[in-house]
Amino acid sequence: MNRLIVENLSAGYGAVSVLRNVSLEVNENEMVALLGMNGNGKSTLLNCVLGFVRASAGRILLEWDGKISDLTKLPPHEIVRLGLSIVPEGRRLVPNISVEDNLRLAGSNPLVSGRMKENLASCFETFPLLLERRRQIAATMSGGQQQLLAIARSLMTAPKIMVIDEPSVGLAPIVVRDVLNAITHLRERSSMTILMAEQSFFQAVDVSSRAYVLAHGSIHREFKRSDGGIANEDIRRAMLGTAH
Amino acid sequence: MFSIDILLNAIVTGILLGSVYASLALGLAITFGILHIPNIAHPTLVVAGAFFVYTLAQWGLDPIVAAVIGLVPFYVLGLALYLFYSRVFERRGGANVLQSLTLFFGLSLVVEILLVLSFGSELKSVNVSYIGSSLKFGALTVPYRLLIPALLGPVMIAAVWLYLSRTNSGTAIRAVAHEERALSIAGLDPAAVKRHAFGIATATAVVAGAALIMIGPVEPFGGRFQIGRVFAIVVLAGMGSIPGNLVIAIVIGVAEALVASYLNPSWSPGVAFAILLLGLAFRPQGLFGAAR
Repeated sequence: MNRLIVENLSAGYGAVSVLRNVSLEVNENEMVALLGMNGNGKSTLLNCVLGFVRASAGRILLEWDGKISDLTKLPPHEIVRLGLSIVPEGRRLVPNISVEDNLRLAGSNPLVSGRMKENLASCFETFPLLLERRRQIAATMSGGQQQLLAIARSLMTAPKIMVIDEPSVGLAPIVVRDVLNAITHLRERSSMTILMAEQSFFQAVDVSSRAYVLAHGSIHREFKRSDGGIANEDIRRAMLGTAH
Repeated sequence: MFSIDILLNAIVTGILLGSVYASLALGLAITFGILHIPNIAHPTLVVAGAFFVYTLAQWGLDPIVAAVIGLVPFYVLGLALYLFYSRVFERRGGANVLQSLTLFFGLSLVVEILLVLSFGSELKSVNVSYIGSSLKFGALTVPYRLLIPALLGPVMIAAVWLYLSRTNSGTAIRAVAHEERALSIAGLDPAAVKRHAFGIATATAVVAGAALIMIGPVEPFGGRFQIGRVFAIVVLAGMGSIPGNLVIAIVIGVAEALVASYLNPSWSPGVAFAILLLGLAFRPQGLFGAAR
């Protein structure tokens, strides 16, 4: 079975512990939402998966095509080469180069650079707006456009699993819809496996197959679509930490 | 007394000298201008490059051929220097400017001492057939020993600039100081990209060294006189602007030559700083740098 497994993960910054004993799974072709209010450890968890934050305990495993890789001790660029990609908080685009150069840079590691043309064409096909603006300097685009670029960029490494950190943060509601549409479109096109952290949970839940609620650094509850739809009221309560 | 010949000669000499300054400053434009590492040892590495060329020239090699041969060992030397720098600092959460300056100051002393121990402290020069003669053009006299090194500068700068602006690994180098995480996201090791850039910067030192020793004799401590000028060029060009580097170097070269011809040669070392202060008063981001 192809999946990402987070096992009893703990992590923090110096003496401050943020995540305590977190376990979750993302299976191939699933879209999993990671819900939680600000400051409950969503970004820390995603940054652990990508190797930007080191776990203090627990393991992160990628099980794919019969091969199990332990991501826990690997540097970010090697985790990316194993098939994870991230749309990070704050987007982290290179501000002073063009849209196309941002995409080309992302597609230039030796594992994927041979398919640069195809990957670039597929990005532009999925995001026609970026084709129009490919010569534009990244920093001069609007927040929503930059978010789309960050999503497109994470496709350039031909990922098995995409990790998306709060794509709606700082964006106007109408732009949030564009961004979520883009993600849904991506799911429809390639049934991309996605782990997405979100605060504005109604929209996130609508497009997800499962959801975890993270509260005070631990998994508070898991919701499955097969439970007969995910009830928004339950999620709201779980996020506020008032119900089980 | 005003003479058009003196003016013309001063301007031409200044352009050629400036082009050589640009070669000297190119490595720093990469390490300081792009990577933001204040490598004050760069001029000393240029002098080391000059001694490398001197050594091969003793065996009868042309200085330019010697410089080309030197590209690979100097690139490797740059990798080693960056590895040392990053081991010392980046593992411990990054270096502040003062720590880096101290490290590279120490490094330049070590290189100077090594040069003195292996070559002695007297002046060394190379002798090639074209070095003694001059190109005469009416009242204009251009010695080949200045013309040939001056041609190296634009060629090398054009090559580096094309590499940085037209290739994906060049883009990675331009990106690394702005958004290191963008490289990790691309599956590229930011440390490896910086190491590679530092290697290229150090490789330019051997070409600049060849230019330096063709113009005149070089001694192990010769780099010290260049530090102020090359920093002035890189900062005034605007951090990260490679073509701007050449333009500013030529402006400084011409200004120095004019000052030396009309005022007093002993004033010329101050010219670069006077231009730097003036330039920064009007454009703090440098003349060719993007405003941040």
